[in-house]
Amino acid sequence: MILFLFESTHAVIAAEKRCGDAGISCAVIPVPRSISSQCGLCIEAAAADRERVSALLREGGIVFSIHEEYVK
Amino acid sequence: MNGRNTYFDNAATSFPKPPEVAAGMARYLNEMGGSYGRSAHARTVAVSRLVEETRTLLAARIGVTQAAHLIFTHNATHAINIALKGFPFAGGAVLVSPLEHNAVMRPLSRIAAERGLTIRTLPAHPDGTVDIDRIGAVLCDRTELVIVNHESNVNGVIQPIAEIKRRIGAVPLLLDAAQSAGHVAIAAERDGIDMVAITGHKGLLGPTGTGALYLKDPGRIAPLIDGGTGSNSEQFEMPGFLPDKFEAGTPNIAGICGLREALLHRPDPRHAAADLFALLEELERIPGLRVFRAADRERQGALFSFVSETMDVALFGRRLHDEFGIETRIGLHCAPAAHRHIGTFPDGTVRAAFSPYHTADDIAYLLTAVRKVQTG
Repeated sequence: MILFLFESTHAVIAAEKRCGDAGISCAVIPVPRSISSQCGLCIEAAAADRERVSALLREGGIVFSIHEEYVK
Repeated sequence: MNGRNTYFDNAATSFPKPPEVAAGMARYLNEMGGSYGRSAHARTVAVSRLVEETRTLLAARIGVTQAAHLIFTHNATHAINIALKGFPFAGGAVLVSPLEHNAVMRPLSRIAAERGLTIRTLPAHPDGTVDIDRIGAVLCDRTELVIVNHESNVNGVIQPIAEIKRRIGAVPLLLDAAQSAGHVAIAAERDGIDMVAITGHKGLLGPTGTGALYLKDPGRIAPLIDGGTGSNSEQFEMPGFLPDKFEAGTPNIAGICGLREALLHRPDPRHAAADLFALLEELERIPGLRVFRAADRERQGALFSFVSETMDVALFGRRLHDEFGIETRIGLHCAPAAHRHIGTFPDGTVRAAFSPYHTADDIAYLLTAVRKVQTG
């Protein structure tokens, strides 16, 4: 799994909606305290969806970063 | 609503609301619970989705695609205070329409006194419609901001906002859409409007305590209040990103849930625009009654005012209420500047403001009542 990190709750919810509309499974979860984040929420998605989700977020103008080493 | 709708004070606050508004608020308070953006459990994530869905719906209603640029506020006054008190004024001039509400004039007057601003009034026609051909005469290099009341809360004049923005060019425009939102189409991005202040409880038919401010260029506006946002919590400084920069403190979630329902369940009007125009024409035929409205029908909003040459406005309003059950608002409507412009200061007027729920029969009843009070 990988985590998508955002600045604000607004961005998290917008990202979740874009993924949902595209049929990509994801979950809104608390940001692990070991990870520095702007916001308490982040999105967990399958590592295999990394590029698809990234493209969707960029397309929506949503600022994000990826934490790739997350192990569920 | 069963029976006749005699509430004509919708410019103060609209009534009735779509029944889904109260149901949505009760659902949040009684069943959902949870905060916004402060936790990550399912309850709060669900609430955060509702708040953000409402933001997107509201943004779309005023022609904004960048929903993060829409800041939730308590009302239009709150939104205007953010816009004005956070604006980087540098001692220049501010142009205002002649029909401004005190929601603008009071904070602006305070800022003018504190920062040495000059307030000038835009040239206008007798009904207060801005004369776009003469705007150039008052624009100058020192003009820092133009403020326009989109729909007057005194005579219902709808200002030619797109034309005004074209004439003022790069000078920022603050649109006070307290009365127009819900009644008049707003295309903020298309028309290049820099800031739009709206309230949820008037034309949008939502609950009191809700409103919003759209900021095209939020970077130049400082936050009005500071506090917790659920983000950047390790820092004492407010976040610089949207919408958090302007949304310190827990928002009015119950109100936002109600506003969401109002946006999703707006009723179709139960009367036609022609019914309102026919009412105005009939009222103007009543001896001794003077009606204040837009000179151009195309610029008439869903409210108007009148005075009697033979009766004090307070007594007129009281008789409408006591003898016919009709609720209006009399006086200056917090808009002394507008009343000065149309010549009704300091006595004010009797104002009637409509809702989509009014039927042609309700409007006919208002005409009958006004006629009987005026002519005995």
